Amino acid sequence: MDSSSNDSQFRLTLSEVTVEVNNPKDKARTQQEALTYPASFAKPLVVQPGDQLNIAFVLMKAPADATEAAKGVRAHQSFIVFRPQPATDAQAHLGPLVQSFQSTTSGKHRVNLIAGRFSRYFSRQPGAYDVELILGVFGAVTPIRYRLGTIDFDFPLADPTDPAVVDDEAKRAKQRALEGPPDAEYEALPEIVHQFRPAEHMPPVLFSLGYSAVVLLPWPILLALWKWIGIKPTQWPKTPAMLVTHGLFFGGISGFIFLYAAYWIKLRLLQTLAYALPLAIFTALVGRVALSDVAHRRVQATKSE
Amino acid sequence: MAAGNTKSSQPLLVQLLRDYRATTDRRVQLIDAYMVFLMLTGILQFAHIFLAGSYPYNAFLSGFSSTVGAFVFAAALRVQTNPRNTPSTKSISPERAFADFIFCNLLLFLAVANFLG
Repeated sequence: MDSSSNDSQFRLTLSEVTVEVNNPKDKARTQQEALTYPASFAKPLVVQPGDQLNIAFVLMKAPADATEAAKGVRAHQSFIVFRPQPATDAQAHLGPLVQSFQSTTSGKHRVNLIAGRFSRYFSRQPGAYDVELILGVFGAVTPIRYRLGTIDFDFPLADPTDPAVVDDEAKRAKQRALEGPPDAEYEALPEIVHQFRPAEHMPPVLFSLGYSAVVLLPWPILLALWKWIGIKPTQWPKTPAMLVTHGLFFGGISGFIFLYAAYWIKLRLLQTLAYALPLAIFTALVGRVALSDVAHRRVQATKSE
Repeated sequence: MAAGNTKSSQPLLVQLLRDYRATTDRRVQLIDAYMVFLMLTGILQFAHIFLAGSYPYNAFLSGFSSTVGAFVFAAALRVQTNPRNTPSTKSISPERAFADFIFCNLLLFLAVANFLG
């Protein structure tokens, strides 16, 4: 019997469990049992066609570490299952009787089963039934499965020639035909376990650092080539103001490179664009002045030639 | 035979270099040096794949495409600023070509930084 439900965050228990069988017309038939979860009946109860079966309990929820007192909680799914035992081959097709029942937010649950309403079911297979409560609560992976015990349904065996029984049997036979034979291959598949991709092969850190230095080698080659080609000092701006403008222009371009590096390391795209907009306006303005100066000097030099 | 070819090719290369220095505009030479720099950087980035694998691939693609893109922009700048091409690029001043070059490079590097990961 699986009569407990635990998960990592809270623990579910039942309290004040009472099971009562009574007959409004015969008070002498009243049978009552108070159970302590997860215990079952000491001896089977007997239910007859005119009886009512009343089951009441409070579902309690408490933190797994017991830091808070338990409090009542509603079961979001609640079922009572009557499972015939032992089921003969001839009766096996009846299957269990499953009924859902309502609950309250305070955690109080109540099952009121008027046995006479199910006489068609129980009279076709009178005898002992295992009674089990199944309670599901959001957040609990495992439901509570509480076996209450055995109830003997003392019902007169139905007459197989009774038109109602014949009609019911015909309906069940039709349903069985629709469902087909039980599928022997239908079974739970193995649990799907996430497969992590193996870590990518990475070169040693020393190799990466060394190769970073190698990739920088073209820089001194570039500088050496530029020095070899030669840059005329006369090409520098003539006035200090223009020198500052040129410096600001190249500063703006350098600012973009630093901004992109910051974008790579920590900034988001919209933040980067917000910084880039004023920087672009500034660089465009000083760039226009600086390049106009270059163009002016180029034209002057052409005229002087 | 091979030794003779090597000997005869050395003066040819020297002559080629001398003519290049003499006949090519200095600004174009500066751009050519920059293009050699980009080509060397791209070759070294590509060689890294054979030595250490392509992971992380987006970083390789970003770096390599930045050198290729910058090379293409430098080639466009070279075409537009070469005095020998003046008849075909008369409407574009060298300063305007340089401004275009800067603008395109800034856009390219923004895309590269975005893809770098």
